[in-house]
Amino acid sequence: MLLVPVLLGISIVIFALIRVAPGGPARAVFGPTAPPEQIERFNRQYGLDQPVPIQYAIWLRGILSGDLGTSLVNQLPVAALILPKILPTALLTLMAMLVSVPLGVGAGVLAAIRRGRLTDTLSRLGFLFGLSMPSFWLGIILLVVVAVNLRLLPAGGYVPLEKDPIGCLRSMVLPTLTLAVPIAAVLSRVVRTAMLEAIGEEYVRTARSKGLPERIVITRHMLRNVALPTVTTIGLQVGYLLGGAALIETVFTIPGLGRGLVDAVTNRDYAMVQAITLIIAVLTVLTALVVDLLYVYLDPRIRLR
Amino acid sequence: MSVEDRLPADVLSFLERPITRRRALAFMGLSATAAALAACGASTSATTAPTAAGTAAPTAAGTAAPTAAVTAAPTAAGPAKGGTVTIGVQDSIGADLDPRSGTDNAAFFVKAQVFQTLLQLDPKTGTITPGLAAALPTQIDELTWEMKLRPGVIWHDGSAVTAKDVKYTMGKVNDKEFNSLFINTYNFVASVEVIDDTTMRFKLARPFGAFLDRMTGFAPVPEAIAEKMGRDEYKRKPVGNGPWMISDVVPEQALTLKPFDKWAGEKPKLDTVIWKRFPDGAARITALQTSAIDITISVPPDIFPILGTGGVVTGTVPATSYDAVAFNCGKPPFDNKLVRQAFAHAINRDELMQVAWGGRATAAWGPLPPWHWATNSNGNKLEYDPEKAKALLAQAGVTLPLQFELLGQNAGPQLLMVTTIQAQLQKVGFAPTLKLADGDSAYAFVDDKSFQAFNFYGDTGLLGLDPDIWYRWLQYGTFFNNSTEAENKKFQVAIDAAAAIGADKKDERLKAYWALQDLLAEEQRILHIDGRNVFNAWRDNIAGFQPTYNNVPNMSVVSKG
Repeated sequence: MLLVPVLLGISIVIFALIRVAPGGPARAVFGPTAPPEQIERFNRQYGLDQPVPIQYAIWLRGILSGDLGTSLVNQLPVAALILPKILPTALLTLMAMLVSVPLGVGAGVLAAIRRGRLTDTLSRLGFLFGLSMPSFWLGIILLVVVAVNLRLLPAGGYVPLEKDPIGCLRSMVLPTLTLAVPIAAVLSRVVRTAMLEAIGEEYVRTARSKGLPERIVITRHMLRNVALPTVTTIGLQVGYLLGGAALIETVFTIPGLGRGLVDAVTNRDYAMVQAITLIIAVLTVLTALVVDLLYVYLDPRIRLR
Repeated sequence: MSVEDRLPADVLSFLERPITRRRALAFMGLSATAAALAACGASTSATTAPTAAGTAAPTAAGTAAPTAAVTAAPTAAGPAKGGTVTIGVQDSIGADLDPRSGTDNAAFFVKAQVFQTLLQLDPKTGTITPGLAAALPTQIDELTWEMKLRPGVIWHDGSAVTAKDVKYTMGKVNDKEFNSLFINTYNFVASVEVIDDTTMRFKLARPFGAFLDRMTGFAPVPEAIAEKMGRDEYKRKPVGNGPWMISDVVPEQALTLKPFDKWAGEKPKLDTVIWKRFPDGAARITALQTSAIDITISVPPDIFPILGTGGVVTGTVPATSYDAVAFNCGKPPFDNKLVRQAFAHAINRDELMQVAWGGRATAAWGPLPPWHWATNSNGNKLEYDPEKAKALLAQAGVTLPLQFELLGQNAGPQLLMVTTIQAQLQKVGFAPTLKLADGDSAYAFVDDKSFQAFNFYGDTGLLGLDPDIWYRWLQYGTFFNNSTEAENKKFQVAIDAAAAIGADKKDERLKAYWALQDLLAEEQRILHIDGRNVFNAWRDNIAGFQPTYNNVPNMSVVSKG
């Protein structure tokens, strides 16, 4: 129900903000020293001299009919430019979650059940390290060590999945690790905290007193109760990955949505900024919806109204 | 809420635990290991700072482009070996690769490889030679030149290159509706008359001494193919007549060229050239070090000194790009010439070049590159003299400290330069407030005339090397300086007068441009700071590659071992 007003609000804010920033797409097309009359002609040609509310109404009408508009800088339909960017970002997001979730959850569980011991200390050090370290710094270090010095993996660049699946996966290893480390750090902390709360609960004592193996106590009883905050955190991280991995996409030269958004903002490519932002907003909202539905599955006490 | 309140309880308890010697040593050991691993890849031997090589003796006909200084002796182009060479670049591959209208680096690269210009500028000798033309054109009268095309030249689809294509191309470029930036370059041509299939006459709108120079940048396009494809499609994948053809274009990301199999001249030595985008400087250099790319023409200047080892060769050459400050002469305080001159005397170019470019730049005193034939190296210079700057400010009668907004860009060497300029100005009585913008968005403040002083960079050399295009671009209109039309008139008259001097009157042309340079130095409507260098790097198995003044390499002579 709230999806439409949320998206409408986001679209209005982004539409206004990008136009408040100085400059426009004409400069990106013609370069800095184009004469003013050239700029004016370009703006007139593409309706950029119209009042902003009129421009918004025209854009909204296009969106509602499925037209994301035309990139004024690239002179191509926005949809044609955005489509190739979705797969790299989706792949990166998926791979980062596939690495960070088992790593984070596993570290968190181990830290909780071995509280006070070396495993716990290492996990907490890892948490601080993973959270404190700038991700672009980690990415560059991995590039230098793994790609340049050890020559184990490619130094960035994206190989299309359909052209070379193995090459694609190899090119995604380092950016995946770069993204996965801070996410795993956050997850490990959340899981550890939730597990420590669960350890003290009566149902755990009951399960142990029944003679259940510790493995069963953890997996069948404790983890189910830890799942809610974990799923929430995962959902938040997916939203971040979908739109906020621009730095990593830049360092590793991945032509994804994040990098595309940065380029579009730099070039004042209004249609691209609006479309990418809208797509990220939709994906984020959908992720939140999936998380809500998972709540119902994980906790029978929660009912959908 | 304090920081402690926001931390999870277990994090807080961890931080509050006493740090034992064992913990501290373990942490330091881990950190040192990580640092050592990171340092392994960094070059430990600094490349000797390359010095700009001396310029070739300028010729009367054109400008000798500077030669490159490289870290290793460039290998001569070897026998054809095939292979693929990938060039890593910073900028996006734009939508417009049409030589009639494309203005980004990719478009100029395409023009150089996929098309032929009517005339050519030999970068080694500075001489103008025929390109598509069979011979240098003949001047019929003050306003008419006749040119013949080389017979037998074909477009990539096999059709013949004709005089009609030249007429068509010039007509489009000079058509306002076509909206090409190059209308400003070629609007001195009133019309092109087709005499026969290979002969045409250029009718000029006014006497113009730089006709030959200007034709070194003019690349005709095939009328039939361009019309059939339509503007949008032709812009994306233009068809030319040069040694290379466009094989594939991935918008924003990559451009692939393959040799034209029916090319009559010396065949390219490579099978494929890929022009590929790597927006991040560190990632681009890493790609070069791991041979993911073979050449990069965009080496960040702060990384340049530490390259040049481990299979990487570096080269730098004075370029056509420059740094300058434009003044809004239409509003205080820079409507006062004395204040502009004071600004000029306050600027220490050596310090600016050191801070921004590591010293790899050349001080400039006028619009033309310092190495240009029409530059007077002994001309009027408002040199660094803080005391004179203070005296001029006093003479101007302005209130000190003189406050104004200094517009600049918010990243890279440009940011270093504008902040250093601010510090230099503060020493003599100016009080500039920095106004920083990203990329080209700063020009919004030039468009609306709200700027006061703008530290900008430019590269007029991509349009041509004749002095007229440089002076006309920067000083003919009021775009940059916001002067009144009346004030601007004397500059327009001087620029037009210099442009009208015939190409055969070499000494007269030189005197006219020297006088123009002195006039502009006196007025300081634009303060020229330096001429930049290009910074290139390539793998040592690449032969034949040389940095060029306009950063557009000739890939036909490049081979890969």
